[in-house]
Amino acid sequence: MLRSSKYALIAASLLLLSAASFAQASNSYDVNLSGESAVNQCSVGEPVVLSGNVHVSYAVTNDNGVNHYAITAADDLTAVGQKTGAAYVAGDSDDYSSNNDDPSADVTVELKSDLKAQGAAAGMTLVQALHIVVDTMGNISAQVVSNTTTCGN
Amino acid sequence: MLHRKKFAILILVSAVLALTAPSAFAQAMVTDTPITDTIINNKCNGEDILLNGTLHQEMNFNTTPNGNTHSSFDATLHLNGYGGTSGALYVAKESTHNETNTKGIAQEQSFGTKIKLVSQGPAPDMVDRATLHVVIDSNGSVKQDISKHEINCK
Repeated sequence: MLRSSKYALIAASLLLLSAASFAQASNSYDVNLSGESAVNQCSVGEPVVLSGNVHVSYAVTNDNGVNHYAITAADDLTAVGQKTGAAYVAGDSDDYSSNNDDPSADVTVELKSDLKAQGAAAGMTLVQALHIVVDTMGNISAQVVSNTTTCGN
Repeated sequence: MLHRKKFAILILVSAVLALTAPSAFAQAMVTDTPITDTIINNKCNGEDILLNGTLHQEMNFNTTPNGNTHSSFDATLHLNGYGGTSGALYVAKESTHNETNTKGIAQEQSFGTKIKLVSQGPAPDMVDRATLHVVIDSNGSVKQDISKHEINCK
């Protein structure tokens, strides 16, 4: 009787630990950018310093053994021009997906956003390279690998 | 007068590429596609635009001895456009770079991107939010297309 109670206690503890581990897993992650520089590749643009967040979220489903990872990245940023002091804002999102039979997906993708000047300065396109790793357990990691501004012409 | 077939802008790059990757995945697959006298319609002002340019695509695959594959997908698009109604000039100069790490080679990936056709005057720009879709089967055969378009005015 005492032995079965111990087993029940151990099983309950393992169950709680498992639940706690799962609860710690998250389907979204915010990458905070504070004072990050963007390299300018736009002839009429300028280098900018970025502040704000890139929000990465995902959902995973399984279909006949194939994991389907649907990932969304969205930025909400302000920027300051390093030549003119002009203010810019960026807020955009894009979707990505990865289908494979791996328990995780490891992708590096681009998020392109309009970098809108809040005055007379020329607008640019902000290109952010994002390295994202997600898995079937709800774990997610994301880094902004690079920030670049382009003109598109 | 521009009276050729009208395509959405990304028909330029939506020609499906069906390629066979080399059996030893450690080299680049390069495709250059000329874009010649292709007409698209600027959804933002109704103007037909005559496009010429090039689409350069590169895919690289490197498989490690333990079976993990690092894949990279690059595309560069250069276009010059001429407005059939206004005579306005348009330019598109876009590139995209994506990477994946997978166990084995088989994978299906979709990458969102944007292609901006920039007016060189007062005519409105046009933005195509496109989805690049890549499928690689277990034999290493590669198919790439544009699975989605969404035309927006800037």
